[in-house]
Amino acid sequence: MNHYSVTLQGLDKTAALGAVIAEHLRPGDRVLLHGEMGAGKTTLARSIGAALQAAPPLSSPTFILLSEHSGRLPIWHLDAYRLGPGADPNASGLLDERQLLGVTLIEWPEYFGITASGLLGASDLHLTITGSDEGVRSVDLRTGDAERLAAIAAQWQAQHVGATER
Amino acid sequence: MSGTAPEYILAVESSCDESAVALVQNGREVIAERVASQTALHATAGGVIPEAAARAHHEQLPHLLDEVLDEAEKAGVREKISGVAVTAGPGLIGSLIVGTGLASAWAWGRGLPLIATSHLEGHFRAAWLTRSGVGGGGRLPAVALIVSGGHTLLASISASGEQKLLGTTIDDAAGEAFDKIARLLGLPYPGGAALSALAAGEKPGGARLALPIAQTRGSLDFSFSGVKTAAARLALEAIGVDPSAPGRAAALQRQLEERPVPPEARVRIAAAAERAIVAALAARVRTALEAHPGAMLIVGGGVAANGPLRAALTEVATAAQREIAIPPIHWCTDNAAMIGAAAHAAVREGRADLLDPAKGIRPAASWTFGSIAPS
Repeated sequence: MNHYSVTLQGLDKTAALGAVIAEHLRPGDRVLLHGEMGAGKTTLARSIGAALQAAPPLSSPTFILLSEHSGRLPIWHLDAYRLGPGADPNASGLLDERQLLGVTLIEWPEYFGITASGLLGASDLHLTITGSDEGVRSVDLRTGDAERLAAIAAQWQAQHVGATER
Repeated sequence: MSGTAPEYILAVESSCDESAVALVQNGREVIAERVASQTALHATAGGVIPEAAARAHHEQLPHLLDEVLDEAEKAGVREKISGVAVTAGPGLIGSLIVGTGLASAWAWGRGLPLIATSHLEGHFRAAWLTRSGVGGGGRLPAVALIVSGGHTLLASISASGEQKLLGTTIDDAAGEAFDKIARLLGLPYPGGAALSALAAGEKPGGARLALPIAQTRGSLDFSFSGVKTAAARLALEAIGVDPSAPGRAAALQRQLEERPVPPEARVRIAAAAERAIVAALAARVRTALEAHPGAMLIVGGGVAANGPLRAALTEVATAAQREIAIPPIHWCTDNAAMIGAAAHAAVREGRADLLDPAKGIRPAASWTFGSIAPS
């Protein structure tokens, strides 16, 4: 299994998906949130953060680029929107060694050259969100860790039957 | 529990991309202040680069400190400095480390106590600052609205200085919504001020567009993501793209770059967006004032420069028969004088200790409003 698609209707389902994903996150993981402006990247990031008991709760880090939160795991929340294509996250100090201790959520990761295609890392979870803000959203999950993806998929199927599709 | 705060506080601010040093007497009177913006430095990169910001603080802060001390010397109060305040969070960790390091070293060298101060508390304490008769007006109890590119928060402060967070944004900051809608309309990011200028050009009397104000579960929380998405839909419609067509979102920014929104539609969308954001802020401030009888209204943060927002909040305060204090714009945006004011109040009201600079202080990238300093 190299990808899994989930259809979400409403904010409750977004929160539920965030909770399922959060259960499977480990120190050193990166969650890459892809999608157009208004797709719901920050809302999904906030849901994952809430499930990790983030303090303070996550909101958009667009302006400040990077926010840090305590929680079940330390959380870093990045947004490359302001930087635009070609930004270097290492030279800029946005990605650093501390993040091996916790979970790093990145919005607009393609601006850092991180895409959901090609060979995917086992500690990278790509979430590509499509659809409208007010109706149905679809989230495509991809990672190099097939076992973990299967575990997330199984849990989602078991807990939210009827809301999923392959 | 309250303490005796140092009369003359030297304050250092470096949480984001403004380096600043100030000398403040009694938490109110600004004796000297300097702010160096890194906007030009970051303009080439399109934003604040944390590493570059920290280096720039490292270069600029010592010069700003020298200038403030020179001015203090001329005012005859240099030897009276009795405490050092520094922003310890929230902010970019590298930038905070540079500021707290400089402040700790200077305080240690002079044998002065150090006060770890919250940047957000600084924003509402700016309403107490005065210089040459300008500013001031802040008093407790108060309801405070802090709106900037990075922050949107509504808080209450009791007569004894106890702070309570009433609401915050669940997605975009208010300033960020301005900036992102501006970019949809072809203005460079961050373009909040340019968007407002565009909106001011709306012809009176014509049909006006309306954008939805998002409802949030917590009645005093904010959500600006919906306004942004609704503005995007209007922008697509204005260039003849059906916003509900499958795949429209996939190329939103590209489509708007290839086919810019026509001038007249830009003005109408900008005006509608500004109205919606201002209305959302004003509505929650009104609710917060109703829940806090006797509280005045304090406004801070860079978005407080927005004319229609100032007008709407003044109207809300007047209708509720409350006073309102909006500091001059250079104290609404990031500055060090507000840190001096906040530090003085925090010690006076028993929320902050006078620290031994030899032990250093640990800056915190996240610092929840109203909580005591993170350890």
